[in-house]
Amino acid sequence: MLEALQSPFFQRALLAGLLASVACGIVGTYVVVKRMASISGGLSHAAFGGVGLGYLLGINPMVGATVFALASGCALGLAYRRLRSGLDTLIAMVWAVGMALGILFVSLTPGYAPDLMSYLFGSILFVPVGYIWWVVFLDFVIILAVLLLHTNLQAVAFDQEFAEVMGVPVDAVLLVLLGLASLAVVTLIRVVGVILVIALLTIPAATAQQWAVNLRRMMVEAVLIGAFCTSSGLFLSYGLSDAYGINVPTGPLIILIAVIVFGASSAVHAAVVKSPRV
Amino acid sequence: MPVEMSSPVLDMRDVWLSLRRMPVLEGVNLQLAKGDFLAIIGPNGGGKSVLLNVVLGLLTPDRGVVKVFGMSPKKARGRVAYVPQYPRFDPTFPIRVIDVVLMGRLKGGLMGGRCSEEDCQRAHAALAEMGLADAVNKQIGRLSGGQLQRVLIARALAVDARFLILDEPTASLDPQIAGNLYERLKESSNEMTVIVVSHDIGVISHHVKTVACMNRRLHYHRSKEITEEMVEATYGCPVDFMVHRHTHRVLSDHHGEGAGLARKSEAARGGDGGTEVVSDPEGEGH
Repeated sequence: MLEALQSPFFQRALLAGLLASVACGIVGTYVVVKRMASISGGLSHAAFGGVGLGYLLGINPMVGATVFALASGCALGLAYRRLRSGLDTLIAMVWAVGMALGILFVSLTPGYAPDLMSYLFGSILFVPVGYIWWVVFLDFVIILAVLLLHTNLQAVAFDQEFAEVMGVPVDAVLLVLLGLASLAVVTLIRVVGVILVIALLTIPAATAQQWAVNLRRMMVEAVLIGAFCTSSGLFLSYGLSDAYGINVPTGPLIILIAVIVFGASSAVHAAVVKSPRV
Repeated sequence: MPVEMSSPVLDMRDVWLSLRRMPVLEGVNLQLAKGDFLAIIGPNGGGKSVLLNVVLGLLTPDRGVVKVFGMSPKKARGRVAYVPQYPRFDPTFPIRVIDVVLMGRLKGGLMGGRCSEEDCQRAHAALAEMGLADAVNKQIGRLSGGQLQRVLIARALAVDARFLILDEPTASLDPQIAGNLYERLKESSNEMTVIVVSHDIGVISHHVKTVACMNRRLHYHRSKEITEEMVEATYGCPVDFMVHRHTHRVLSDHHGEGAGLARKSEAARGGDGGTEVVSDPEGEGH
């Protein structure tokens, strides 16, 4: 198994997974406590529209994905407090329209789009070096934003109305939050694909929430859990291929490992909470 | 002695608001100055919380003028402290009690900024005042409903504002703790302005300086006395008997202690949350 570490492909994939875990743990924490999981699902599927447009225009699909995710993040951010009951429906529309546009654009693109599956299901084993630098940059932006804005992000996530009464610019904070979510979603598309992003954003953070006493600890724990899941998914997929000749994509393995970790954590947590000593 | 009416803390003139085409506020007028301590009572759905939301700038009226410290409610943010009716947040939210109370020290602005030594001292003092000094570092999910309510009150006290708005703050508190809270507010109310919405007439009438009745319209005569007309206009006709037998007499006679107080509490608690009882003709009609 360890000889895998000598392969530059594997090294790059491992590094990408670990770096992406930082983004997903930090942003995922806010997404989970603010209950924005479905919004992030909408963002990732909207990003697929950008991937399609990228193919059609012959530009880097990741650029298209970033633009689409940020634009729909802003739209949902502005709608967030104004729609209340209609928000759910709007998310569903953004979700579906993103996919529809992606499929349309790709079908209009002359020739064959060989890389399309990698956007739908992820392709961490084939990440380019440029992607690594992109994730480094993104992690930097996310950490900087959280260092500067955590007080307000926490206040808005916890009790939006009170934050507003205290003079916190709630709309601006929500836009920052959705902007960060959009960027994290675009990053994670490479690792697990459009369809599974929502899982990688929420499951490690939800696992951490069971144990954390505050948001900072929840972020650290979510990053560690995410790092464990992505790297063990990589090793598992390598091992299956190496020992049994079974070739499975890494993304779904990462998600399944995350769910198993979540389940185990829930069981332990329930047992600990029930025990009279604690 | 001239009251400082030149710069009222709250000035609402002819305020109208409809929500989902239902009229909620109808021509509300209310002026409060420094030192006022007002209780607002009224039936559920009578617009009490809506009125508070207008004062806080969370709702914008369709018509009329609202000024807080001479400014629009949105401009006055951060100068008004607020205790919401129910804890709206998720008890599994990973946050410690002290961090919730520190939200009363938020500075506004996008950056927010870190809390200073003084902020921490204020937060700790507010928690101690609400009897929660031991719970400072607990995750909020480990508190009881009453403790959570006290955390919200501590958060509002930590704001250190000169205008305090409380929406049913004592709904899940022990009567003694509720009494202590009102006593504390009464003590500091010469320096500040307080509005409290409550069903618990028995407790508040003891401490507040004036009482208003609210049912879409606000009936307020800058006095502590609840007149028959006010109650009738607020709750409707079936109230008469109740008004004569308990509420009216007892609330009017606030020098009478002892038996009067007991009966007052009984009247206030007699049904589902106090004042509702007066709109129930069968309960008192024989």
